[in-house]
Amino acid sequence: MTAQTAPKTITAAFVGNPNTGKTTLFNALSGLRQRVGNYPGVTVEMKKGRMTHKGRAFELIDLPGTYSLAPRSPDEMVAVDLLLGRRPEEPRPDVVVSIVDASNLERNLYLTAQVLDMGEPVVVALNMVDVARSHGMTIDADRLARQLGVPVVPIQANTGAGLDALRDAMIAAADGPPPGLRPEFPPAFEAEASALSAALGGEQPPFIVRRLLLDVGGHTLAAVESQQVEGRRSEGSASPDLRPSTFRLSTWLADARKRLSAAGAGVPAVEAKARYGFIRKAVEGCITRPEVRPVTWTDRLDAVLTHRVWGLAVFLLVMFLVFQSIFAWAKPLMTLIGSGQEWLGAKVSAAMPPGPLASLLTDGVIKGVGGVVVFIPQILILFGFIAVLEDCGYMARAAFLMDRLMSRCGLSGKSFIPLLSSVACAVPGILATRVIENRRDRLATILVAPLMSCSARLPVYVLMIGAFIPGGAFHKGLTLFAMYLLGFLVAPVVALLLKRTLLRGETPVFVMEMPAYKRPSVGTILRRMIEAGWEFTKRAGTLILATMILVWALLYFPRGDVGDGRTYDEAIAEKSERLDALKEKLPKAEEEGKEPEVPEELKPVKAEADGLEEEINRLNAEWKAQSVLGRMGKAIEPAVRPLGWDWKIGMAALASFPAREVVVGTLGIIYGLGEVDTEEIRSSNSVADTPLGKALADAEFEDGPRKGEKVFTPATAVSLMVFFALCAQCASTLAVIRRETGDWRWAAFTFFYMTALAYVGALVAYQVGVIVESWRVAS
Amino acid sequence: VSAVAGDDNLVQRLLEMGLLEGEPVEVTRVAPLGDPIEIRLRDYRLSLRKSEARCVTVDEDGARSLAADTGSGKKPGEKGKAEADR
Repeated sequence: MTAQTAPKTITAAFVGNPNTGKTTLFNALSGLRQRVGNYPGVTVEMKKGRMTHKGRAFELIDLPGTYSLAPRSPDEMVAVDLLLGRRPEEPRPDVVVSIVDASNLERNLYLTAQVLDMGEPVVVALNMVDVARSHGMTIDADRLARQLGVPVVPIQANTGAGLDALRDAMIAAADGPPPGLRPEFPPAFEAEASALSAALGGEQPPFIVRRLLLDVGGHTLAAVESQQVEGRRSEGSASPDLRPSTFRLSTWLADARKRLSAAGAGVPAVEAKARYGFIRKAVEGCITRPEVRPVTWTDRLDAVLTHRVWGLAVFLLVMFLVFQSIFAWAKPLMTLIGSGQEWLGAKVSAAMPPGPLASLLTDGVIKGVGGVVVFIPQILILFGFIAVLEDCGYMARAAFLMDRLMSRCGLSGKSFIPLLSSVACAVPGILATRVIENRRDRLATILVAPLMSCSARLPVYVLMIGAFIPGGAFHKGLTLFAMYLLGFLVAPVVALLLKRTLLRGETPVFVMEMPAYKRPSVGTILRRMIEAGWEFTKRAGTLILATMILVWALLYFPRGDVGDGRTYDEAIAEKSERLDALKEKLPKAEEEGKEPEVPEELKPVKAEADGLEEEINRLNAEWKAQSVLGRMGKAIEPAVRPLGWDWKIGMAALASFPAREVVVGTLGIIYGLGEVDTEEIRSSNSVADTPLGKALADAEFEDGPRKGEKVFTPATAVSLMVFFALCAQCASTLAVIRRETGDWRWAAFTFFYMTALAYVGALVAYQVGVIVESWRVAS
Repeated sequence: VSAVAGDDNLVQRLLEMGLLEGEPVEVTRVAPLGDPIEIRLRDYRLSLRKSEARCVTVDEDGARSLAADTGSGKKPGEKGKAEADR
């Protein structure tokens, strides 16, 4: 802190309440030179940036927005430790910039008052002066600075006004002494604090000692205890005698709080009283308010947006727009990515001799990369919307409107948007849970989000309903609706069960600020979209790719033997080459999906080509049946028989664990029809008439007690759909869960509970279906 | 506000948000589904569930819980004022 000799880099930490424009200020100061700082053991990320001003280099750290430095979770403890210079990754900040909203000064200064306790130089950045002015308030910044004992710089983060003055103040403060004023606590509290400090051997900074006394949640206690354990471990002392000392600390605290209560300085009220008392003195005479509070834009908008009728109508409209956009707007982009992937695959296989390497590249790597990239349009669109809704202040209203509904199943109003997004795709939905502050609520939302019927389940539904559900369009539509409803009904039940068991704990505090509406900043929105897309690609992408390659290998090996010493892939490659040569001679299809007229003289060629194609498909089916995954399918047949499935369905279900959308394609291969285009099934008007629909309808059990019977009945179809509706067949989702919870065990838990649920659900669906069918036949 | 009492974690949060004894508050709105409610205090607005509002006692004409102000049929907008500093 004494940098009089050589100008050293100034480390500056930014703290502030949510909705104060802290991120806008941080972006304005650091520009594009940002990176994300990760801290082991926590899920929060803090952005870091650099700037130079008057020859001084700055290292800027953006701490998460918070109302208080009373840590409520390990994540929040990181912010405290960082400010105290107790994180090994960062030096102790030379100056703390506290951003406050001028239109709501008193509450914003609460956090500033806590920062003053830490003993570092503080600069207050007085933001949103224009909002305050529009509310008829003026603030005397100079007087506030005098009474607060630290510099106060009025700024306008969105326009960049006052930033140079802020930079100047940061340099001056960093080189200057720590603030002279700090909130005064009652003497009884100060006495307890110094007694506790002495009892702890003076190891803990005064801020932590006070927090130990003040924090009723026990997070500071837990952090100090784990630190003591760590300390002893690193000292290498063999004393396992930890328990008595930590035990003493918690009883000490309980006793101290009793004494404080008796002295009229009860915890936790004493802190708020002391700090707000300090704030009242600091702002005295600084704020001039109008006699009558003017009706603001926020009031007018809220009169509509939280209205009994209009509010809900607008909310539904906004949700419809969000939902439609992830569904519809992303589709052309996703199709483009799909065709790009096919084009690249074709290029590679044309340029390389056939064999394992070419197959690995086309079917493993390119498909895997495509499987990652294909999510990006949806993520970008959803995050664009979330950024707009959050930045303009509507997100709090959405939570306000929906909280009653969501709190019934143990979630909060903020869970609504993530769950709705999951109907399009669980991956962006889970990323969207970042808006939920409470960890337990967020976990519950993440764990049930994959139960929502995402768009990848649609092809399975369409195929099964189109081919096997009897009745007209009404019945079929009703069945499809029922499949979606299944997710909507099961998710809240599971959420409720989770909250009653695994995620048990005190009801999280809902208390939420309703910020003033403001115009969203384009820069902030673009930044958030890009960050979300990049994060997903970097973190989840690698894992998805690895899983895709694993499944490719399971389907590729062993390469088998067609009887003449050649492996399946070699035989297929050779036949494909001949087929391609024959196709050259045949007229090309003019329209997609329409068979071209074949002239009389080419009929034999056409017949040979068709024969070859059938041969290739048969070989492919045999090859996959004897692959590792095919063998696994046969091995699990006894387990899937009660669901009404044969080994082929079992294998297709196994193959679709990494990504459920591959099931249609896999069924196509196993039933000897070659690669079936999922898009064709989705857009087909009469699925039962497509080749795959017919092949499935003709499929019979190959052995067992039901040998010769048809595999697919309406009951089997429903059982398969229920399985797909409830099963966690999506490596991407699991990868994102692991990433967002910071613990692979949650991903494993999701996988196992959903698979178990899917199995039981399919079992019940099939057995009930069989009874209904026999009853229908009998009557 | 004349008193804030209840679960320690909740009380701590409410106090941090500035819901102190002697502070004037106003119930401004009730969500369409009946819960949560919106209150105005200091220079901003806060939304909290009724179960949470029950921890806050206001004192205007006789002490009652903040949640009571949102009771059926009663028009929101009553001011609870109290000078109850200890």
